[in-house]
Amino acid sequence: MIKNILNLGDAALYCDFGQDVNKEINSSVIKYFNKIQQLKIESINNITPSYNKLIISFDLKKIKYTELKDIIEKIQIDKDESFQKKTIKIPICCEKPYSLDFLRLEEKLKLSREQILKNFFDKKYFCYMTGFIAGMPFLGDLNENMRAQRLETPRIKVPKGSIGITEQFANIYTFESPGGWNIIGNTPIKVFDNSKENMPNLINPGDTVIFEEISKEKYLNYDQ
Amino acid sequence: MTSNYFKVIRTGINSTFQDKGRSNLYHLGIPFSGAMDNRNYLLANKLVQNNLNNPVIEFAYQGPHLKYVGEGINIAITGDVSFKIKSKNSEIDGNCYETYKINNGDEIDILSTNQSVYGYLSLSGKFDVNYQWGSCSTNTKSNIGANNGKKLQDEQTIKIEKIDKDFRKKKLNHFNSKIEKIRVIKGTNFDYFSQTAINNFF
Repeated sequence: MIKNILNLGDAALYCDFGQDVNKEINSSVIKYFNKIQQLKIESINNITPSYNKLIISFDLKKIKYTELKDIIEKIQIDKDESFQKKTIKIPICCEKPYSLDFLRLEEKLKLSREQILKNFFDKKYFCYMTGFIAGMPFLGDLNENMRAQRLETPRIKVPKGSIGITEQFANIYTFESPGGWNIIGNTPIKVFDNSKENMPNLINPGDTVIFEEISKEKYLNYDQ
Repeated sequence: MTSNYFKVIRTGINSTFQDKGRSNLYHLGIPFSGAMDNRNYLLANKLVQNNLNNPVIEFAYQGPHLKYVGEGINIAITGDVSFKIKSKNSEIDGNCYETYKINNGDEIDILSTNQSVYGYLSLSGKFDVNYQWGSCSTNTKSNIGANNGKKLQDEQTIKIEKIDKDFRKKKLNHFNSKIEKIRVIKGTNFDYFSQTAINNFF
């Protein structure tokens, strides 16, 4: 639940759900996000959920901070309320040239290639949020023994489709982008599709992701 | 059927189509986009008597060099921009915040922005661009919006639809408002800074 509401600049509300990053707190953020979206408040420009914060940007010409704060504070969320969740399978290839940082990971984690792959693919991942670039999902949580720091020097260009890991999280680069996560593999599927205006993101907050290992041959012949 | 278009001779450094941008998509990782310098963007459309949400070409530092093919059309450039309009028999240094009628074969060469980072080119018509989520604003990182989400490309053509044939000269004696004091609202991490750092900042 919301612990504190502050102003973020003059045209946004900062709803703080605490400092911890876990499913329970994040699910609460998602429930608030859904509820506020359903209210269709015309003066709101954007509602941005993250791990444990929800930022609501508004049009200063239409509403005041205090007025919007009142509306948000009055929202009731039922503890048992659920929201729509999907389970999505993401095929990834961890062979060269897609697994850019495999050797680095073996060194950092002090695990063999086989152990890393087993740990990585045995896990179901929870989507906390999407962002940074369009449709990029932030997934968690990796086992304690799989947690590596970011690269010391980030890459200027991470290839589209790359799957990166850092600390307790995994992500998917939906576009070529600068980035500093350890790249474990690459997926041939479209995780963001801007031709689908209603639902451009394949993975949304609250969804579960299962990664499936595929061979380079299958990767190259993958049919969308 | 007449077709009116610009041919891109030089793209400039960062030339994109922009309008007011798209809202309520942050949760998908899709930013607002839209014109960076809102005031100059709005003035560009106002000068050529457009709807204020019409697409314009936004450029930074060095703008595009364009050759026009088609019927006469009014254009305007806003910002603090050096540009030339080249016709068959003449070449003039253009003034910002002033409309110019250009004709078939004329060229607009936007050399540089000076005191403003961004500049805007508007015209009395509408660029024929594609829209996504109610906006044509180009987002080059995610390839969203006009021009398939890309900057202007060398040699490309820019089609223009619906020319408004009101060629009255409009001019604005405009002065960029000088910002002397930047007012600041404390951020949520204000307490992370030492008192010394805070004193130094203010």
